[in-house]
Amino acid sequence: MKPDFAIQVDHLTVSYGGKPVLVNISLDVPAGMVVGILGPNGAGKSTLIKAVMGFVPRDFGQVALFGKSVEDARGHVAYVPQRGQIDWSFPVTVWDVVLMGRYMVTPWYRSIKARDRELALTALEQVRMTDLRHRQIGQLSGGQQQRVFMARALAQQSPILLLDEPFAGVDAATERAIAGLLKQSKAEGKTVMVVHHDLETAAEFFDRVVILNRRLYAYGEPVEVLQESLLAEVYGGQLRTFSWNRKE
Amino acid sequence: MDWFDSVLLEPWRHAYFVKGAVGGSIIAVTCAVLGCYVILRRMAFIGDAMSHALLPGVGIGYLLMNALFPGGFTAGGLLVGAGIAALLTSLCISFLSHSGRIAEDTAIGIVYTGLFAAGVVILTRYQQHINIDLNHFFQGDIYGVAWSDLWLGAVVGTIVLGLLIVFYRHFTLVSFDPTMAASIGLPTQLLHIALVGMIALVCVAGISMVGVIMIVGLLITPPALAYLLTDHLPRMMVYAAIIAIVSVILGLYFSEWVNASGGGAIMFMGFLLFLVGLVVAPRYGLLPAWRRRRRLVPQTDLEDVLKGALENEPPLLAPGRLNRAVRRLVADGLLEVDRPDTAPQLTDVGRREAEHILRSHQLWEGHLVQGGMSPDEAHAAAERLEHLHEREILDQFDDDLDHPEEDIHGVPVPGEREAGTDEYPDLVMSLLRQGDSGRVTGCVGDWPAGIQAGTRFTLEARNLETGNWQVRLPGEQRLMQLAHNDADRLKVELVDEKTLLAADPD
Repeated sequence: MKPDFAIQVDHLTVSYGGKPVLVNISLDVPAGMVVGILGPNGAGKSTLIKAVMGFVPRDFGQVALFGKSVEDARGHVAYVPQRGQIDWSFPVTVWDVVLMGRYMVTPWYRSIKARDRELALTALEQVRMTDLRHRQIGQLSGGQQQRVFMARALAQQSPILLLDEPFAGVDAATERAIAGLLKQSKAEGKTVMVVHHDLETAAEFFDRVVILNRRLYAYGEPVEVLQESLLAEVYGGQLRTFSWNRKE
Repeated sequence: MDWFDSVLLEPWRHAYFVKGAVGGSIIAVTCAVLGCYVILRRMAFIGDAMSHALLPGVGIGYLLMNALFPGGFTAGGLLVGAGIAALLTSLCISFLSHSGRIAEDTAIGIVYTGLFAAGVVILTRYQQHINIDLNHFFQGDIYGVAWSDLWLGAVVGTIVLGLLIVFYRHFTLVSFDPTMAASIGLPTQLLHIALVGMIALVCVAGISMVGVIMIVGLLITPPALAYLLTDHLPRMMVYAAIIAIVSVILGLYFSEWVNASGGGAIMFMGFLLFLVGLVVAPRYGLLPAWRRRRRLVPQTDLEDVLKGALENEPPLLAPGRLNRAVRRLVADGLLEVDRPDTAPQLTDVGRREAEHILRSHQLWEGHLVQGGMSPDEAHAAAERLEHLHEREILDQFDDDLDHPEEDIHGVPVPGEREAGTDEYPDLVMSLLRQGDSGRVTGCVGDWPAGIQAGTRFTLEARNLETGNWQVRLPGEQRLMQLAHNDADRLKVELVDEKTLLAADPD
């Protein structure tokens, strides 16, 4: 495999309990690209992200990060989970969560170094959450919670950033903040993959767009990919929402 | 002092009490700290299962050791047997719950009752060979703590607390966000197994002291109480440990006084402490939550009181709610009370707010009547709808109704007064009332002839026939006529008439 692609998905097939979730997906993402994964509910968007992290058992196919198989590329990936997957009443503060971004480089017998604390603090400043760092995470607004996990991912300083629905249910300020961080990550040469649900904003946020519904329907620049006829085929009955949103 | 000596100090002069206190505290503290992860990971049921499933292990261990070293030391066999049983339990649970249709809680229920039943069969069949009775298994014997129990407790406590401290970050991350833990290469399965193993260890060490049910209680109740008291994991662990020690000491005293089983008394005290905490815990307790709710004054009450003060009609509220609403409005500077026995008066800000609510009521009424509702129905409905008073909605209704100066009952509709604030910057001429003076600041679209930015004006009464706005411009005799459409487009700012004249002597 060529190492100049940050993420290479090669004929990937994944199934849960005999039901195919992803079928024969092939996808090469060059380094420094911001890619949006779009598709209807149950299309396997989160599964694709998890496959890139090497968490789902593959029936067939390969996933490689910078030319290495995912199993050998641990730590290349920072992940921002969906809000619904987190136990918000867990007794950790904002600062605790951002520090988790530096756990991997800290050996078990050491405490976290001053340099790593600084990196965490910088990440916290980037999302403008320094003032709230002693808050328990459940006492933040949805947008602030999203930004804390962004900060944790930034603190990891991984070359690949995976975000699962970061724009779901956040306020306008957070949406701008996240979009800014995507741009900045790209400027730093990071490769970013984002599960996204809003077709409206896709062209604005992403360099490339993946249209997924178990199969890969399209992968390319937003203008090429976001075609009404293709979306009608992929989204089927769910397209109504889309046309209505376009105000045409 | 006699009382102090005989009740509080006397028990400590007996070795059994001291050993019970020390042994109980070691086990209870270990359970409490480990239990923080048990409750955060929602593993309480596994703890329950583990402790019960130890029975067959203990039984078989005894039998084996008896067969190998007749009459010899058996504590080791007990430990090995219990360890094997714990391993078997977790393996069976994980196998069953991953086998397809059976959910994990079902699997736990099947495995632990099955293994426990096997233990009961073994123990009762070989009763004469095993000197451990079921009663002991359930209740433990905190007053019969042997040195070997203390040693076992100390070793287990050191191992468990040591692991939890050294691998604090690992256990926390894997409990909080297992996906990230796996993505940075933490051995999530191993960490889970380690936690299950530690639960098994504290069960083995603790069962002979406090019994099988009580050990589960110690694993769950003190951390649960600590969880109500704090939002910070290290603090939660320390609190849980303190609560555990307090439960042990209180329980031992209690069992001395009433002559009851020590293990039961300890857990009962823990339970009572939890109940107290559940009620009074500062943030998550029931009492503070109830008081917060009581202090909360519904916005609708505040608005009803304001409108009532404007119209001189007391709002229909229960006295308690009325008092709370008035107190809050006074605190917020919307009402003022000169003397305690007089009715509160609206402040300027309060009056503006009140007029806004009244205006909302009147415009909703007008809107509903326009839509075909009878005036009585509309009035009743507007009593509720008036609390939806966003500027945009009201101005829309005002526009639809051709900016009425009186409502359906003939009561004047107050003009819009809150314009110019950050939240609502634009004021247009059609929202003004007779007598208002101001300055034109802008216009959407073409300017009406004779008006430009900066033009000063005073509004006269609306023309009854045409509905036009009639504007007096300084130094002109003739009234300027503005149709609805023009009045909507002119942006204005209000200026006091005197200021206007002072600034412009001619």
